[in-house]
Amino acid sequence: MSDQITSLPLVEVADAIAKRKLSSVEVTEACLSRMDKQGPTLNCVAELHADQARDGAKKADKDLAGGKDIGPLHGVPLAHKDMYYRKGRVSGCGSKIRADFVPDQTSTALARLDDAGALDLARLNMVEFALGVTGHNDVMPTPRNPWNTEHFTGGSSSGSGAAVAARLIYGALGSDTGGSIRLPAACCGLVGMKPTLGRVSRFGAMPLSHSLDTVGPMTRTTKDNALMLQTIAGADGNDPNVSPLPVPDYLEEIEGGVKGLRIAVPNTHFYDGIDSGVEDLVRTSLKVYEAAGAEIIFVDLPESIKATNTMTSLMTAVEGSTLHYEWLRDRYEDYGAQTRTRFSLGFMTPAVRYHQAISMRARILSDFAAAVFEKADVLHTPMINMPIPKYSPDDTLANQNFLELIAKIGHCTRPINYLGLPGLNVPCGFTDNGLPCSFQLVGRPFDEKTLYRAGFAYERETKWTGMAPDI
Amino acid sequence: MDNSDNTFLCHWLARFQGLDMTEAQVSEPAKTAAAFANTIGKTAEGMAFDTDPAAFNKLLHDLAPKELKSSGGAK
Repeated sequence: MSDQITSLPLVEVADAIAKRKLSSVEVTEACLSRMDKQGPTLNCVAELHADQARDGAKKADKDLAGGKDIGPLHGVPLAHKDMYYRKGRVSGCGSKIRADFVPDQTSTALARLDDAGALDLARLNMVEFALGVTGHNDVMPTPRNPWNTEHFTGGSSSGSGAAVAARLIYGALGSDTGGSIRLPAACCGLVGMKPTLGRVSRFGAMPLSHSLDTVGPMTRTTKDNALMLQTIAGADGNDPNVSPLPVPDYLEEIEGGVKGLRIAVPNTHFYDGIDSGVEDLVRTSLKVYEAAGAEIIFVDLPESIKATNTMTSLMTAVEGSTLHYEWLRDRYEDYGAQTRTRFSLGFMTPAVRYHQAISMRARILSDFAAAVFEKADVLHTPMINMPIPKYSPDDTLANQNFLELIAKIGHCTRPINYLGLPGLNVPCGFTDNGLPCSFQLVGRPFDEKTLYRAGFAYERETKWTGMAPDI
Repeated sequence: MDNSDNTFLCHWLARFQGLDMTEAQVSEPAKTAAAFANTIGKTAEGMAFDTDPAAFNKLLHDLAPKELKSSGGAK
C-alpha cells in the first residue's frame, strides 16, 4: 500500500488528500518510509525533516477536518534543492563553504509552496553551488540515478531528479542556469520546466548568474509540473526582475491537444553530433505529434545560435566568479576542482567580451524568433545528444576533456538560457543502456502554457512518463 | 597558452584582480577563457553602436503571447 501511495502523481495525491480518501499523515509516512529505504542508496537527501513533516501532516489533516480553506498542494510532501533558503534552517548549497549557512529569510518559491499547503520533507543534495551538468559533486555526496546508480543523474538539481524519479517525493524545485532542471529531468525520466527568465521569483534562492538563473519544478507528469509552476510563478515585491505579466491558468487547456499546433524542428545546431539511437527516439516523438494533428515545420536557425553555448558558459563564469570572489581568493582549496576551475575562468575573461555576450542577446533572440516563432508555435529539439553516460573517475578532474564533455551535455540547453525562453523536458523512451531519453519543447517568452499542452498531448499518447525505475 | 603566457597572467591577476593564483591554477581556465573570448569576439563583429543590453528584456515581453499582454495586471 505504501508504494502504491508514493507511485501516485502529485495531482492525484493532492486530490485524494483534499477529498479525504488519503490522509496527509498516511502519504507523508509512505514518503518517509521510502526515503528510509532508498535514500541511502541514492544519496539524494542532505537533511531529512521527518519530525517537522509529521507535525505538518497532522496539522494538514486537522485543518481539513475542521473545514479550513486549503491550497492546491494541501498536505502533499515535497522536498527541494538545497539552495532555497528557509529562515533559520541550514542551506548548504552543495558546498563545504556554506555547509553551516543559516539564512535569515525564506525564499519566495518556498513561501508560495507553503501557502499552497505543501510539506517540505528534506533538503536535497545538489552540485556544488549549482555549477555542473553531470550531477557530480567533489566535496559533498553525489546523488545516484535510480534507473541505474552507475550513471549520471544530471545536474545541477541532481538530488531533486533522483528523489522525484525514485518516488521519494511528488515534486521538487530545481534551478536552471544552463540546463540544471532539464538535464537531471532528462537523465532521471522526469518532466522539468525551465520557465521564461523573469517568470518566477528568485528571491531567497542562491544566486549563480543573475542574467540566466531561473527557478522551476521537476515532477513525474506534465500536469504535476503545471500545478507546481502555477503555485510559484508571478510578480513578487521582493524581486524586481519578475515580470508583471499575469500568470495564465496552466491546467485550464492542458488537455486541448495539438491539432493545428505548428512544431518547428531545427535543421541546424541541435542535432550536431547526436547519437543515432537518441536521434531515432527524438524523431519518433515527432511522428506521435504528427499523428495527433500537429504540423511539423523544418527551420534553419541563425548562425549565431552556435555561439550561445559559449556565451552562456562565459556569463555564468563571470557573474559566478564575481559572487564567489572572496571565497575563491581565501578558500580556494575548499572548492571542488571543476567548480574552482570554471569559476576562475571568469577572472580571466575580458570585461568587453562579457559585455558583448550580454549586449548581443536582443539581436540573437530577435533573429531566433524570426526563424522559429514567425512560422511555428513551439520548437522541438533533442535534450541530451548522447545516451546518459556512466560516472567515471575522470569526473573529479577539471581537464580539457571533461570541460568538452560538459559543453556537449549542455549543447541543447544553454542556448535556451541565453535566449531567456521557456524549455520543457519531456521523456520519450529509453536508449540501449536502459537510461531515459527526452526531447525539449521551447516556447515563446511567457508561453509555458502551450508547452504544457504540447507536453501533455505527447504524454497522453505514450507510456514513458508514468514509468518508474525498479528500485 | 605557453608557460610565459601563464606567468604573465598570474602577474596580471595579482595586479588587476587582487588574486594570488599559481601557474598550475590558471593553466586550464586560461585556455578556455581564450577560446571563449575568441568565439564571442567573432560573433560580436559588426555589433550595432546603439546596442542597449536592456533591449533584451523588452524583447522578451514584446514576444509574449498577446492574450497575456492584453489581460493586464499581475498575478
